[in-house]
Amino acid sequence: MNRDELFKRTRAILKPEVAQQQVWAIIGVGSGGARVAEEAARFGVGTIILIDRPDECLEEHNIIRHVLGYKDLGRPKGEALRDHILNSNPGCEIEVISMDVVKDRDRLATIIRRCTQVHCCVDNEPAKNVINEEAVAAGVTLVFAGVFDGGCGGEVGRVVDGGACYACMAAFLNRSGRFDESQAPQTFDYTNPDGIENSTAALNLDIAQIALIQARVGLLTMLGRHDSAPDFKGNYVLFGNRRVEGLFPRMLSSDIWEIPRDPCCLICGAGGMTEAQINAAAEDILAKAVCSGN
Amino acid sequence: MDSKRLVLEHAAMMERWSALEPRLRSDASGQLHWELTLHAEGGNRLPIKIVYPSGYPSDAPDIVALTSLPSGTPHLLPGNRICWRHPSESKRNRNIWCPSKDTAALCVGVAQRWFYAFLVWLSTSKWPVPDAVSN
Repeated sequence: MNRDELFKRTRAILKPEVAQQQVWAIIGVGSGGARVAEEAARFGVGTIILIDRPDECLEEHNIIRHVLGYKDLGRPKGEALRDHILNSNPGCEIEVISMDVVKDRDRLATIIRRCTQVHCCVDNEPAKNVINEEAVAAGVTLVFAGVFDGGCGGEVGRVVDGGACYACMAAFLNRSGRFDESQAPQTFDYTNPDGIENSTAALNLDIAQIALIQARVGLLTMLGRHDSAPDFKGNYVLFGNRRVEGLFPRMLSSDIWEIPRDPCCLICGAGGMTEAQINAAAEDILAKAVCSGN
Repeated sequence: MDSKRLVLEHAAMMERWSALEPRLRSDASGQLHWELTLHAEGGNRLPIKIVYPSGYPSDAPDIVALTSLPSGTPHLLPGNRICWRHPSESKRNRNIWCPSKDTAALCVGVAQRWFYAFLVWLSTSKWPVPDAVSN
């Protein structure tokens, strides 16, 4: 591999030395996460940590929407993705970690502290919340994304130290009424818990569109460290792949919002107390709990 | 649960439900839970505990009835746990547990609602609400 030759056509836009210092964790290497990882390698990100659930292997039904193909059928996605990425940037250092981020919080925290960026590419709320908590605690930038039902569009958010966290944004989006009720994801039918979830899968290009925006936000964040001009104003991007009444006025429409940090957020808010006051109060609560409990 | 969260949980519980005299307890493994008794008309009482799971606050608390309930009680999970959300619900929506806003204090209101529904069911054999929780 000739590194100078590899980055010859992009050097004027993005110096490979800048990207080389970056360490990105990509959590979830499904259809979206795999594309973010692939783009990161093409940016020249020095170290990419691929995290996926144990025993998460490429199945045939994944292939139509994934960067991996039939030659990797049955292989763990993380390992197969590493080989795929090295094929386009052999100089990239890639770590593959198989873990459940919800169950192994301490390990996740250790990994995140090593990173310059964390990309949350999972599709379930408990995992998103855990990743958010650990990124906020470590003060590491978190970029998250989600594809809306049927791939009609999606969202990309960026959590920076001191700004609104994912939990602030989720609460704002869910409970502010900003979204039209008719467009919001439907809740489960509690009277029919065995019923089929009313959601539709997305096409490959729908997912890729959102994943590329996620990678772009990562790129802008990386460049922002070396450029004082603001990369983009806001912390939340809405992108419509298709027209949706009340949400996306036309195909390929986009909007950027600045979702405010909630000072009362239980995850990132200060709570109006100093650390010493918090520790003292917590000790007092725990002492009383133990005394009265057993 | 970190110290800040613990303090905020305690404050929220006491601010809203101190009349029920909730008590924070710790088991041998250090797992924390609240114990309190719900009241309803006719002198009916339901002692409950609200258990913080190891994944808290990303995972929602469990609400456990501390008294034996009749077999066939609707919306009751194994271990006497009150059903208040779909266990596999993992998509963001209006009713999902929200760790930035919700505390164990929310569960007391949820349990009270469940208790009223349970009492109606005892009298009529019909659960009066279509689900176990409503925000």
